Amino acid sequence: MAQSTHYIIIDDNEIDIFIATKMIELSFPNAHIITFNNASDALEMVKKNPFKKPAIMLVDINMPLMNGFQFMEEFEKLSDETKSLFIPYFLTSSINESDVAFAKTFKTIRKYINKPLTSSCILDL
Amino acid sequence: MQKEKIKILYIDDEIENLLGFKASFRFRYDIFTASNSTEALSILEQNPQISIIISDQRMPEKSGVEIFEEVFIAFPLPVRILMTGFSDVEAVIEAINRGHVFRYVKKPWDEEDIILAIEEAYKYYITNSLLSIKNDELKRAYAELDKFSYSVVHDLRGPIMSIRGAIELLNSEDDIEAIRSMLFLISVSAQKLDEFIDSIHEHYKINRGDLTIEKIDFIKLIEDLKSVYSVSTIVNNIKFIAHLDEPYEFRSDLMSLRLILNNLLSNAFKYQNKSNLNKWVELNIVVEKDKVRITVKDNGIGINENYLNQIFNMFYRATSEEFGSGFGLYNVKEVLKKIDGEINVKSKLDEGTEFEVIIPSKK
Repeated sequence: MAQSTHYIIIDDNEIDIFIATKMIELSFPNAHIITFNNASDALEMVKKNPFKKPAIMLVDINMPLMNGFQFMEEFEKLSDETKSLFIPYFLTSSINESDVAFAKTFKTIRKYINKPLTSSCILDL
Repeated sequence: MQKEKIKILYIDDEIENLLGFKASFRFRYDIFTASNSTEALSILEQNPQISIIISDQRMPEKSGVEIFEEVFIAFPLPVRILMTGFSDVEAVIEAINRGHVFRYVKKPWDEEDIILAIEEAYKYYITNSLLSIKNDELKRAYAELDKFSYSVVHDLRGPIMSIRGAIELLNSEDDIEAIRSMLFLISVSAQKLDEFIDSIHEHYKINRGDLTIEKIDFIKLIEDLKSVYSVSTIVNNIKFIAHLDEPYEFRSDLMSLRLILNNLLSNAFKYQNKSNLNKWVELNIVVEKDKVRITVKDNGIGINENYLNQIFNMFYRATSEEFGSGFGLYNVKEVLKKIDGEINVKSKLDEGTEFEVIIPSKK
């Protein structure tokens, strides 16, 4: 797969955002990374389509107010043109079977990744 | 020891029988009487403690079995005893199958027979109602456990994954400053883990712990709280104001009180608006006759109105600012249940939050 250089990280935990950012920068020092600590701000940004190129989107699941599933439900309602500019992945510490099963019901989700994010994992995105 | 009398409802269409029954057993039992099903239902409605229903079978409007059947829908718990003068086999079979009848007693009654039937029925009632109470408790415990195991996986695993992520980063880092900042992240995550384990421990202490009722020394309690939050007061520049008005003595469980105040105050200190230059937290304790009224007020970030009714739920978090376990206010509510207190909340986004707790004084 052609490696995108644009990344969006959505996670309520600042530490995990920091780790993911650093990890990506280690593999791709020139990556463009935008981070959000809540899903509703992220959704507003996604609707505005900031990048010309497709962006990899890492979505945490367990977040207060709007969780990753609710975010993806809203995301999948957007136009095909908008959706084609984002490549969403779930990035979560949840190993609950019900979460894994529910994650599979989202058509646009590429993969369910368990934290912590590793460099080999980033190269696979 | 004075035992509370067993409460019995006796249904018969003949007034003499009602009076006779009451006269024979009123010293031993608490007797209620009804001459038809409407009366029976309204008595059961008003006296939920009634544990045994005895009814005559042959009555003009409805038979005893029919009345039992009707009453069973709304009041399934009381144990039923049927009484009849006719050795009517049909009626007996019907009584057992349709009327959920526990015993069958011949009429005219023999006092000993009735007492024996009542004692047996009461034992059956106690076992059954204990079972249904335990069953409800068990259902609740299971539902809580499900929620709990889900959240434990996330809340315990989350910080561990952060630590593993930071260690992964450390492996490819040579700069000592960067290494230090990652070690700091590791220690923050470890602290989160520790806080979460503390709140689980607190939760189980509430459920299992016994109350020790004593006179509460509010002056000492406020001093303790001031010293706990003194660091936060200085480091984050938050003014802590405490008022005490104590014209009466107040008795309750000190540990419960501490848990409530600690949770409310730590929230008030935590959810502050960082850019505000005049941050404050106010604690008011007013002891009234027979109760205490405590308010914890702040001018912090506030809570969105739409989420106010959910904040006392287990694991609910109404903000992504700051780390929270979603356990604190749930624990507060649970402990208030134990000491018969109540809690109210008023909040406005970006203006602040006010919690009011009212706790009755114990003997």
